Amino acid sequence: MPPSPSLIACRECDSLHRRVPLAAGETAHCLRCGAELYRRPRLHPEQMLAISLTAFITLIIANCQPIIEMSINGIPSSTTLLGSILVLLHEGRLTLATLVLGTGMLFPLLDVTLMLALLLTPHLPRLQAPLFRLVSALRPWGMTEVFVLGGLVSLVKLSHSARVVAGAALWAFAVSALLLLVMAHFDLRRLMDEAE
Amino acid sequence: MSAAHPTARDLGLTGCRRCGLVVRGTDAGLCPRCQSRLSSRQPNSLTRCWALLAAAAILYVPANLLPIMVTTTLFGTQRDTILSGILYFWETGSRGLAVLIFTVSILIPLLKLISLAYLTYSAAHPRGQSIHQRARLYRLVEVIGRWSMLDMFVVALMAGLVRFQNMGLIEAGPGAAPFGAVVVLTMLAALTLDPRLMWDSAEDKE
Repeated sequence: MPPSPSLIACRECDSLHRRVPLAAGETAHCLRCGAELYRRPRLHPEQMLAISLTAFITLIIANCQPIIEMSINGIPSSTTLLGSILVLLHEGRLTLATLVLGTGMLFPLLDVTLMLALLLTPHLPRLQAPLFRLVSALRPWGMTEVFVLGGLVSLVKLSHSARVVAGAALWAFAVSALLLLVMAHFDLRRLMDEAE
Repeated sequence: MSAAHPTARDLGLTGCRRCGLVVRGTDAGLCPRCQSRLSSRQPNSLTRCWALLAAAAILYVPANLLPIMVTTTLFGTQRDTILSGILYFWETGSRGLAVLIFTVSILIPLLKLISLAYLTYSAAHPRGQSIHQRARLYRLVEVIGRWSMLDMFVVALMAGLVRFQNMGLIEAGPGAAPFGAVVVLTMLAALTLDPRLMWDSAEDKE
């Protein structure tokens, strides 16, 4: 079954369209249902590489530093993301611990790491397909932006009864969330199209 | 078959939903470019979606009735369900936060369950509801579902932080697991529902 690279089927309604060349930053939409068909990213793969590398560094910082620091009557306390997960495990909350580990820590880290691998190996077509599949399958399960909001809500909640300060990790997570947003906006399928 | 917009299936083709390649034939197989599983229409999409929704609807009950956070202080133990946590915010003056958490923790999961059930039902039994409105609802459900994880992260952070011997201890409650499961199950249901089926059944109405 020979593929037809000049055609595109809408992911939502299956209408068939002929591809037209786009200028950088433009998006093609389905004529029938309006869903996005494909996009020509404003950023080049090299620029995406720089953004992914930055996201990797900020995520590492975010995972090592305390998220919130607080004190009650002079007794200090702080926690990292992993610290919180270990506490949940210790209390026997296995489901919650797994969910937070996956969506808050593992999937975002994997997303960025695999994205780096994908962008660094355009000359290895045998690696590109599995990396592309993994990144696009994992992406919806990374929830860094939701976690940042969760950190802010916790800050407000604790501020009623204790002295609280946002830790370095909360800022690092916020920056990571923005970078991941830029990465999600980059149409990965473009890489597969160009590999042909 | 709608004359104005022929689908890939009408023309004997299949589009890979991962990488976008259009392949001849409508049989299941692997995409020759990215090796994802191809399907002209996801097999048993609606049945699987119903199963996931039923599981989520059942777990929605303990998720809202059981405490998700247990606070122990010198003055006693307080068990907070999602709703009582929201009331606490409302009463202590953080009304904006109360509204935010009510929206993401109670409203979004409920609306998501109802919307997905409606979309799944109307994909099999179209009765002239606007397909364009249903498509918009589908996209909305796909985007907002993840925000329901908010309270899970809050509980995890509070449990990690508040560990003072006599002065205060916060633990996750038994409601957290079913709540997290509702979020995951409804996200899976949204991924399982093949929107192309909605458009297929709407075709003759256009």
